[in-house]
Amino acid sequence: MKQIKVLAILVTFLFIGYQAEAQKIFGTRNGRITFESPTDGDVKAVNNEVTSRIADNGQLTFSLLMKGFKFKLAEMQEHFNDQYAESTKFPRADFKGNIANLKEVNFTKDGSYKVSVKGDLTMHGVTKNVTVNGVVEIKGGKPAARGSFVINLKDFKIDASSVTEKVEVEVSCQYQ
Amino acid sequence: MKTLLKRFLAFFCLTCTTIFVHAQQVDLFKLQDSASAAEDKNKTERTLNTFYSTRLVTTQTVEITGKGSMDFRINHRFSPLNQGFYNLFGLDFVSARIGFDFGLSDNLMIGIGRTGTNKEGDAFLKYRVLRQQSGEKNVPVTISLLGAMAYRGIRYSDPTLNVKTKDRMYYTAQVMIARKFNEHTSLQISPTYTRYNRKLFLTGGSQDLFSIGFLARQKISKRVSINAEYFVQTQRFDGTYNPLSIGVDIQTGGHVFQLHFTNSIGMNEHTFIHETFGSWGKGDIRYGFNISRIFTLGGKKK
Repeated sequence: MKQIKVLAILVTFLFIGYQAEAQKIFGTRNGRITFESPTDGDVKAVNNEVTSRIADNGQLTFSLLMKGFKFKLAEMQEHFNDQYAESTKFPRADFKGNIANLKEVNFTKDGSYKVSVKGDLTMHGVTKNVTVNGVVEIKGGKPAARGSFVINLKDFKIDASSVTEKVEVEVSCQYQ
Repeated sequence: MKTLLKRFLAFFCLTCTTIFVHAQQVDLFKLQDSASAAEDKNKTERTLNTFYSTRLVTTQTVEITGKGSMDFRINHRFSPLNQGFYNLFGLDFVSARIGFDFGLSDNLMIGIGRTGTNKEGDAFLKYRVLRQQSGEKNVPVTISLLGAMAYRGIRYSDPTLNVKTKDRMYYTAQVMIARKFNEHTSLQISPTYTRYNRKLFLTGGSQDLFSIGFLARQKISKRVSINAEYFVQTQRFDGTYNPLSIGVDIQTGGHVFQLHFTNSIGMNEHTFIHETFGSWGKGDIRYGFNISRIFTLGGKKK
């Protein structure tokens, strides 16, 4: 009988242990990703409908529709979708990564944590490993993420050399 | 024995719980894939760029100039190739139309233009009523409507003709129905009605003319396409032919260059559909080109 009691307590403890380890996921459907050409300020677009999730195990994902990028010039937006991004053929861009320095981030404590995220960015049918440096900010238990990086369009087989070779990408998400 | 069994059972439960808890660990990567797939299933995709430009060669396409944009268009038609070397196969003489198109909203545009031949001014309004889209909501075609008018400004030296202002007016109404079959191929048919208030120096035909335009676009690369357009008229003025044009579009950034061969010199609706006096069979073929440059109005521009 005693043994069972011990066992029961052990099980309970273990269970609690697992409970505590159960993962927390935060998500948003209104993440914001912008890109801009460093050489031509008119080449600038914003997508406010980015789906993104972050988990306290360090996983971080983004997904967006290329056609969700809005340009100031309607013609530029059409060219972007038609000739460069080929959005009908490759409708989505997608990122799956992990926070490399997860130990430095405390999801339960308010604060601003510098992070380095490594993962696979898929766009225009090409998947490439990228590293993004950014900030995860915890406020009232809810994380927000910001980061920026540069995409070399050639790496993704996007031939836009007549417009721009690179774009600077900025990411900003407030998770719920 | 009983204790052992209980112990075993407890251990079993514990293992199960552990597995269960582990299974509860969501893989965000997989979650994203399934969520995206579910979303893609329910979305409606608008068809873009049925044609590169608002004109295929001379004929209006279903496309609308982007909202807030101005499209500056210069069209040129040279003299017929069969004039021989003396006129450098027609290149010595050129007729031009200079025009400005404005995108007023996503689906509405207006345009004005001036053609040298017969000193014509023209204005039109084009409205897209339906957009091709696929996915959850399927729409097979894009439909736009065109209303155009032209004023022939040339001075008639014969006073007995007694030409009044209304005699110089021409009206065109057109329905454009287009479908982009795939990334490369787009077709359009354009039933058209044209009104001549007065037939000046024209015999046969009618003051009320009906025609149907057939337009085809075949892309051969991301930036180059081959285009053809042809109009069948129900009634023709004496000595005129159905207009046929074959051309190439070359797209570079904000410009579209359109190069073509055509038997027609007119560059607004009534003249190129109904006043084409050249025949492909007789070699009355003209070289022509259009240049389109898009500017943005409002807001700051570099």
